[in-house]
Amino acid sequence: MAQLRAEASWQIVGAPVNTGHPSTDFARLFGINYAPFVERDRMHLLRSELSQSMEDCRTGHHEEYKDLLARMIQCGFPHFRQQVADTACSCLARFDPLVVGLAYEHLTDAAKAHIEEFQVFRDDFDELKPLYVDAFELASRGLAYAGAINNLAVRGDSSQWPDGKTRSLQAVLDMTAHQREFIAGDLGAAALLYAGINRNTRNDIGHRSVHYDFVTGCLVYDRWHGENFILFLDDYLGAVRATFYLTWLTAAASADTDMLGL
Amino acid sequence: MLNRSLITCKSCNQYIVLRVGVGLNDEQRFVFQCPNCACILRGCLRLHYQPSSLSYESEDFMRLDEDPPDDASIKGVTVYTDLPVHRSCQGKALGNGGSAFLALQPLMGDGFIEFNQRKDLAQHIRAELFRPFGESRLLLGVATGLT
Repeated sequence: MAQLRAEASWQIVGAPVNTGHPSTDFARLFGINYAPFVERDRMHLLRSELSQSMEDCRTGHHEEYKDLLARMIQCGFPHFRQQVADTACSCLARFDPLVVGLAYEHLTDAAKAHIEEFQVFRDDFDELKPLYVDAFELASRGLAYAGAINNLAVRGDSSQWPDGKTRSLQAVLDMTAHQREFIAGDLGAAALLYAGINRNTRNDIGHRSVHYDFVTGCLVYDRWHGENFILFLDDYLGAVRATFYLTWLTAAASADTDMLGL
Repeated sequence: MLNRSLITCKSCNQYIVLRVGVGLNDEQRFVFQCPNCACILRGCLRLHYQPSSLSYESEDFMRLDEDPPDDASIKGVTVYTDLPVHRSCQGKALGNGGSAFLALQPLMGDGFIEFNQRKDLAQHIRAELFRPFGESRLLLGVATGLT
């Protein structure tokens, strides 16, 4: 416990690159809320990689970066930022479902293989589903913004995507979540974070009539029995972890927008 | 903490010993199957801090004021909202392996200690940080440049 508390307090002082701005300072403070759910080293890596990309953009591609941030604002980044803040707070305000996901992750492989032997007695799937969908959609849109910054830092052109194609930011934002998945592979530590969002849950859960069948312990998609509710809660935990990354992305981009006088 | 209550199912009018793991949230909505008639029963456990107490709300069962008798003929149900409950502890009294939390120990192996630490930290952060932040929404919004 003492070690974990130390980890939590480390969030304030363990500063990666862009510090000294109220946005990033507060985001680091807010990040303490994620300490039980995101490992310290992973938090540091996620922040550092993103901050380093932004630093590379600021120093190596100053004018292009200003132009990219201006385009991000034109492409709905302020609204995205608002949604990230709202969703992150909504998810953390009711964090007890996250503990179920955490419990699942700590089960031995042998116990996980018999997940049907466990039951969850929660009666709030109807409230968790929209939160999951919101976090999933935001994480997917976040790929476009983080990917564009990464493109500029790595390839010197924000519209050069890792699949070798040239696309505008708006074109990538107009793609489906599934079509944007390739971007995650180019984002280092964030790739693992994104892999944890929909290991078990169908991408189209937001567009389907889904309910929790308590007797079988499974989610029912239309008339088809889908995954175990506990597996959904594991993906829900993954989606909430992604909001940690998005919180840092929005805070750091806001700091840069401010510092570059946009 | 496991709260033990005597309830009656409004569908079959049979007694049930309801054991609810008091979790982390102020409001815990739960669902379970009546062990007598298999009817789905829903309820909500609310925690109150000043003064410290808890209350149940349900349209499907009625909570009786009397303590559950030590009568093995009355079927029991063990309900947790913040832990996966293994079938092996279902319906058992606390002293007979009815704790879902303790049942997780052999199922997690070495991971149990870390899980327990993280769960405690989550509770600590919620009580001492998130709530005082006033559900941080406004502050986060302002700090990330919303306004």
